[in-house]
Amino acid sequence: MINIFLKDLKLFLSDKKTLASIILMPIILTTILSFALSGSFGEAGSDWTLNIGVVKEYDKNIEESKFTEFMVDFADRYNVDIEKFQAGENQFEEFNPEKIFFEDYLGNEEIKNFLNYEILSREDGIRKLDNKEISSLIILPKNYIYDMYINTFSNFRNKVEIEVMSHPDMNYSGSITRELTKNFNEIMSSIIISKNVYFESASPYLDLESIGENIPEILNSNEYKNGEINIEERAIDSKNYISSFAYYTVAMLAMFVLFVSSYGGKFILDEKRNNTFQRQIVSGKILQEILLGKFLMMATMVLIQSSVMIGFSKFVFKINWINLPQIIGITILSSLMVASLGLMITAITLKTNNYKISDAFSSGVVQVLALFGGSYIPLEIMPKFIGAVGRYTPNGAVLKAYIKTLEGYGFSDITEHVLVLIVNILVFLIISTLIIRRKSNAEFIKS
Amino acid sequence: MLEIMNLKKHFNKTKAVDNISFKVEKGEILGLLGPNGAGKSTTISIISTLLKADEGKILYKGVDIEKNPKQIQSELGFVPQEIALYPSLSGYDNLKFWGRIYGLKGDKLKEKIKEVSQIIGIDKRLKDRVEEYSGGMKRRLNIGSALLHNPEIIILDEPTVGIDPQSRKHILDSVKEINKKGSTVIYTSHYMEEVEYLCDKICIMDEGKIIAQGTKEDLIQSISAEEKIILQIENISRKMIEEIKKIPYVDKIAYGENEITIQKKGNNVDYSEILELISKNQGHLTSMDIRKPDLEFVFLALTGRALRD
Repeated sequence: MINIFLKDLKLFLSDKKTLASIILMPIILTTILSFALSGSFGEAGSDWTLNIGVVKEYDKNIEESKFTEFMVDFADRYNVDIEKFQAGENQFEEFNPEKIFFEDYLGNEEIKNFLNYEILSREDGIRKLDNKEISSLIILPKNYIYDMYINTFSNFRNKVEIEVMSHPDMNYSGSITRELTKNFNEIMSSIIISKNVYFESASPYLDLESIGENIPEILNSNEYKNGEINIEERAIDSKNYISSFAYYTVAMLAMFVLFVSSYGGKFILDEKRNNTFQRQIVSGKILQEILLGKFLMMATMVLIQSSVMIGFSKFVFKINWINLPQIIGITILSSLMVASLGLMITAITLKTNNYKISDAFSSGVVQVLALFGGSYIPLEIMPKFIGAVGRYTPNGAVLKAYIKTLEGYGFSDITEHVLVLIVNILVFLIISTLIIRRKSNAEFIKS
Repeated sequence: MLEIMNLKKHFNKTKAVDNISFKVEKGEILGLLGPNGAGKSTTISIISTLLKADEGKILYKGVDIEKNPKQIQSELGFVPQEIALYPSLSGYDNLKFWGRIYGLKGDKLKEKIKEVSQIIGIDKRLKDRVEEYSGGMKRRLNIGSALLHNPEIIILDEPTVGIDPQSRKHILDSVKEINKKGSTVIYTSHYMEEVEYLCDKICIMDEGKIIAQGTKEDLIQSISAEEKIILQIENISRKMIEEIKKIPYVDKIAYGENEITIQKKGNNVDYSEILELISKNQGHLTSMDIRKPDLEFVFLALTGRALRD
């Protein structure tokens, strides 16, 4: 069996075209993608911060006056005691949308750790965005203050649209900014919804003065609290940041190792076509020995491929591969996963006697897995369902495990990905066994 | 040493091997002679454990090989009809791989590679990739790969197909040398002259059956054969064939596009009668060859067809 494995390895290494496609190609692609998308990633080992701009298109004083006029008009129209109504209004100042956004939300301690913002005009903001001086621009629209007051203190509802612009090369940062803005909107919406529910529930029983008096209490009970900011998934303080070079080294590695899995199938059919398969069977070798040779060949090729990529990225991109035992463990697991997948493809190829299975895998399935596994675009900025599926793909698990290790996480933090890989390996091996054991050597030769 | 008993194998509705039996004694060269599709390759595929027979039994040294295939596998050198080598590896690496498959290693393996490469005449090209070899060299390496472990029995399936006369002679001489060193040989071919040159015993196969077996002399004697006349003629017609058939000393006749083969009977034959008939039917005789009886003749006598048809 060792003899068969060594022969297969020699065959693989003697094929210059194949070697170029599985070893040179990922290096080239990593280099191109890393440089092209470097703006989307932080610098490894640095204190990464998110620099954004905020544009205030509203005029606070004018819009507050406008709201006061609205309230007076409202009181006249509905014959409300304005003095009594305004007693509550004085407390409205505590509910100041501008203060909430800038001081309570963006000024929150946890957010301040990684986010810097500056107030800009729209023109300056766009210019800075173009120059990548900031990664995103949040635009608070005209009538923002007025509309927020209306939404909060009346039973009307005006649409408030906060716009987020981000630089296309800085997707990762843009995605974080959009999430933060979305989070803020959700908090504000929940407050407004509570008020509206109270307004509509109480109006049949209370007069408008009494409702107005109680609104501040409702608002306070729902007021924005620090704890409502969920930034756990963005909690990257104390961990290493991943540069585009580190990310794409791992992403391309996770994708290109999958190509190796199609070679077991190609090799076995080549052996059938050039009759060396039959000759081995005649010599007394059993099918399982021949397939085990292919399994070891694929696993070894992944180890070689991974070592070359890791070595190249270390010396050329200066990536710090910390926690080497964990990296070696992931690499071994990755090689076993690819070899098991390859064994399954080999068994199917042998059964169908058709190169199309291997070809379809390398040209189609790998690309889909690469997309879902985050090899092209980080899963964090992909639609949620892709992220959910991607973490269970074999390459997605390899990618996540490597990235987390590079970020400084220990084994306990990559357990989920290790388990995904182990489950994948077991499933592939079970399917392979089921396919192989149903046929005798002679049947495989005949088909 | 090897006994084949009532062997049968069919593929769908085609009877590839139809109830054949023969024996191979230690140290002899047995030839399986027959046209393409006669069942030779299927027979040796069953003997070499690549295929399972539908019926029948094969005993190797008294052991049923279906129940115990290892018995023959470890002592068998199998040379398939197609080149079964790794084209992108060197000749040396191919020999090393096949030697190791049979458990050779270290100095013994090196010695055997040297010895075998000299027998098959590729010792000076061992480091080259097989894909750079000529067809004849590939054929010889294909044989060499089956010889490394000193097999007690060697099966060669049409090993000279598609090669130049020089390589062919080298292969035939190599087979004789291997046999002299003690290996038993089963050799399949549709080239009558190869089987005549090499084999002690011959089985003639056609349509899955063994239609005759024995030594060359036994086979020729068995059909009481006499000379055969081979005529090269342009413009052969049906009428010409029918009229030649009516000549009293013509026993059997086979014909192709430009050739008529006649098996005659009796002595004191007047060949002018044939020549007149050819001329009368607007045929143009380009050559006439009178041959002593051979295996081709036996095949013609038994099947009514020429071996190459």
